[in-house]
This record gives sequence, structure tokens and C-alpha cells, in this order.
Amino acid sequence: MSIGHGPATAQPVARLINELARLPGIGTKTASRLAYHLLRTSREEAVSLAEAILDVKERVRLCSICFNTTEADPCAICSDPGRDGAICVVEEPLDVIALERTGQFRGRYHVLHGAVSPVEGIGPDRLKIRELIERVEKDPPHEVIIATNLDLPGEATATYLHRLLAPFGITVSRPASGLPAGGDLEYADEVTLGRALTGRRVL
Amino acid sequence: MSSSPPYAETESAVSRSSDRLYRCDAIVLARMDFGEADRILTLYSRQHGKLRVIAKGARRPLSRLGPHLEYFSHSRLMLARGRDLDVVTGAETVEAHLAIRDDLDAFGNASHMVEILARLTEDRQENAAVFDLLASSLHLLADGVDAFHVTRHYELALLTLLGYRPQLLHCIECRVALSQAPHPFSPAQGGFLCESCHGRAPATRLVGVDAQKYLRALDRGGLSATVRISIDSPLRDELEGIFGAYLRHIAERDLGSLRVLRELHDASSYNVR
Ligand SMILES: [Zn+2]
Ligand SMILES: [Zn+2]
Repeated sequence: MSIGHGPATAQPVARLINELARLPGIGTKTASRLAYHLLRTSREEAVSLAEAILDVKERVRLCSICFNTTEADPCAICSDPGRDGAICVVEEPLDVIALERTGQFRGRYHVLHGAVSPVEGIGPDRLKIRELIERVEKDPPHEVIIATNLDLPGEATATYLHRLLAPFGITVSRPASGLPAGGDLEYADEVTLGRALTGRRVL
Repeated sequence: MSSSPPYAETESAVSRSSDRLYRCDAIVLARMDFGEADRILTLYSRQHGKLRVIAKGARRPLSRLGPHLEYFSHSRLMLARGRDLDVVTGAETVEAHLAIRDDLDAFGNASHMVEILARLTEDRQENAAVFDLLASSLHLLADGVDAFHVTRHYELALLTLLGYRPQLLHCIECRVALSQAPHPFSPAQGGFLCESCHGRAPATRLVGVDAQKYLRALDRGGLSATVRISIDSPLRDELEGIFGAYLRHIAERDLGSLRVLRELHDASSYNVR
């Protein structure tokens, strides 16, 4: 996808604008502003940013236990002996950060990398669901908290996981709704999220 | 019905001039995250057909728009004409169809319904009957009516409303009345072929007599003619297959919901190990 910038834009700048505009949440206008900002910064700053981007691609991978993004495998949370035997299932790595901020959860996580969304063609096979079931089979937790988003794909994923986990005879719960329906978990404030976690309901 | 005030307004300052604002009844067919917390939605509206609109801040938990713009929920919207996309400025839920989210079969079938509607229609081609069909079918799913029958009825009725009604009684090629025997269904032509025409066509699967009977009953008597028919799983697969092939042919692409629905049905295979 290329956007025409007219003869007034130098080709390398146009290329940078096009690259930036591909990022989520960035339109052409913001991309142009960022590109011209980078043009004005020092060479050191530009190199540092470029290196940080490459670093993230080269050094960050998925934890083989919880599938959160990590540098070391297993990740810091999975290898922390102070964590209890509960698993909190979330859609995205950003949700782990949001839940860790609450300080209310002392167990470990499992990142699905999405939610079941038939309209978008995303079925259970595209998510880390089989991996979750295998993890539960191998090392049964005392509780699984399903903290997927409170929108329809998140709710349907919770229903589906509950059905798969039922035969294991462990407690399966869902954060209580202090959280309004329809929203993404990562945007919830810590108080609401913390309260929702402590008051979770058993499925 | 939601308890929030009607037409919860967004923070964005929208000019009040009446030519920029309009109301419609709509159901969300598809959605895409956009920007920090916005959503681009594909709607099917009763007044203007299929629309693509933007809902600003809809992904934030405290968004007053978000809960009214969920998949499958029938909402009354206030829209403002925008440069690229019209902007949702107010939303009120008419029917949330909450029961669909607790039933995976209903959820998968409702997804299939909205997906094929999105694929088979063009933007801003008004068709109130299509909206009413979708709204009533979602209502039936939420009420717990057998999702298989509701969905097959929706498919046939939608195809008919959009001008793709399949030919079920006569050979699509030579118009001769079909005999009581298995016949192939041609997705490309949109109908069954008789024995003599079949010989000249490329090899297609034969559709059994029971499946043909079901389709004719559905065509003649609608859902009330089929909802009490109990059908075994091979017949289910056969009927799903005919509609799936025909819809794929018209949409000219694969249909994601049908594939995911199958994966959801296979859920039990995870446990029996
Ligand atoms: Zn880990
Ligand atoms: Zn013929």
C-alpha cells in the first residue's frame, strides 16, 4: 500500500511515512509528523530507535509455557517460584501487563494471542488453546481464571474454554463484572480491574 | 433494553446541523480495531443498507458507545456524515440478543449469517426486507430455536431476496421437472440438473432425495415447515454443504465462519484423549 505524497516529499521521507502509517493507530497525518520529527533529530537518536526495533525482533520471543513475550524462556513469571498454582488466561501480552499492575493476582498467565471470532475467520486452532489444555493436563492448576475481553469474541472464547476445561474438575472462574461490556481489558483502570479480579465468579 | 440514556453522545464535537446527522436501525456485521481505541464497523441498516462507519473510543471499557455496537445487537444509531466514513455519535440498544453469546452453536451460526450478508451485498443499497430477515433470525437464535433450521431458512430467504433463489423443482438447464432421485446441484448455475443434462456437466456431488425434500419444504413453507423435521448428521452436512458451495460461489471467496463453526463443533475431540 503506497500513499502519494506529491513531488514536494523526498523519496526516503515518503518511504518512512508509508512504513510508519502501517503501524496500528497511526494515520498518514501522524506518520508525516513523526517522519519529519525523525528527520530533525540527531543521528544518534535515530540509530538508537532503529536498533531498538531490530533488538525487539531479534531478542524477544514467546515463552514456551505461557506464550507471553519474553527474552528468556521460560519467562520471569513462569520461572518465579513465589507464584501460586493458578493460571489466568488472557488474549494479549498487553493484558498481562494490565493485570500485573493491579498486584491482585499471584499466579501465572496463559496468552491466547486473540479470541475466537468466526467473522474474522479466527477459530480455536489459530489460538494457543491446545497448548493451554496440554499445560493443564500436564500440571493441573488449582484454578483457571478466564480473563478474556468482555466483548462477544472474548465471551465466546470463555464459554468454549470452560467447556474444554470442565472435564478436568478444576475451578474455572471469570473476573466479576465491575468491567463494562464491550471494552478491551487493556484499557481498564487498575481499581476496576483489581476489583473485578478479587470478586471473580466461578463458571 | 439498556438502562443508559438514549443516544449516549461521544466527546467529539459534532456539528448539530440536521443535514449532517441521520438516524438508522442497524446490526453490526463486522468490526476492525482502528487507532488507539476506535473501531471501524460494517453495519447493515434498515434505512440505508450496508454502511461502513467509525465509532470513536468504542474499545474503552467506559465508552458509552461500545456496549451498543457489539456483534449481532440491533441498535438505533445516530450518525454524522464524515469525510471518509460516517461517524457514530449516539447509540441505543433495541435488542442485544445476549443469549447468543452463551451458546457457541448460536454464536457460530449468527457469525455465519452476518458474514454472508456482508459478502453478498454492496454499500448503501437499501433493502429493508433483508434487515428484517437478519433481525428476526438473530432473534430466533437468541430464543434458542434450533440454529441449524434457523440458519438454513435465513440462507434461502437471503439468497431469494438478493436475486439468487436456487431452482429446486426444475432442471436449471432444460427446465424439465426433476424426478424423485438424487440430482447434482450446480453452484455455478444455481440449481439442480436432470439426468440427461448432468451427463454433459462436469462431475458434481449428487444431492439425495431427503435433502431435496428439505429444500423444497423450506422454499414453500419457510421455517415453520422445517423446524420440526428431525434430521441426522449426514443430512445436516449435506444441506450445509449445498448452501456453503453455492454461497462460496456467489461470494467468490472462502467463508471463515463456516470453517470456525466446524472447529467449534469438533471441540470435544480435545478432551477424549
Ligand atoms: Zn511464561
Ligand atoms: Zn436438464
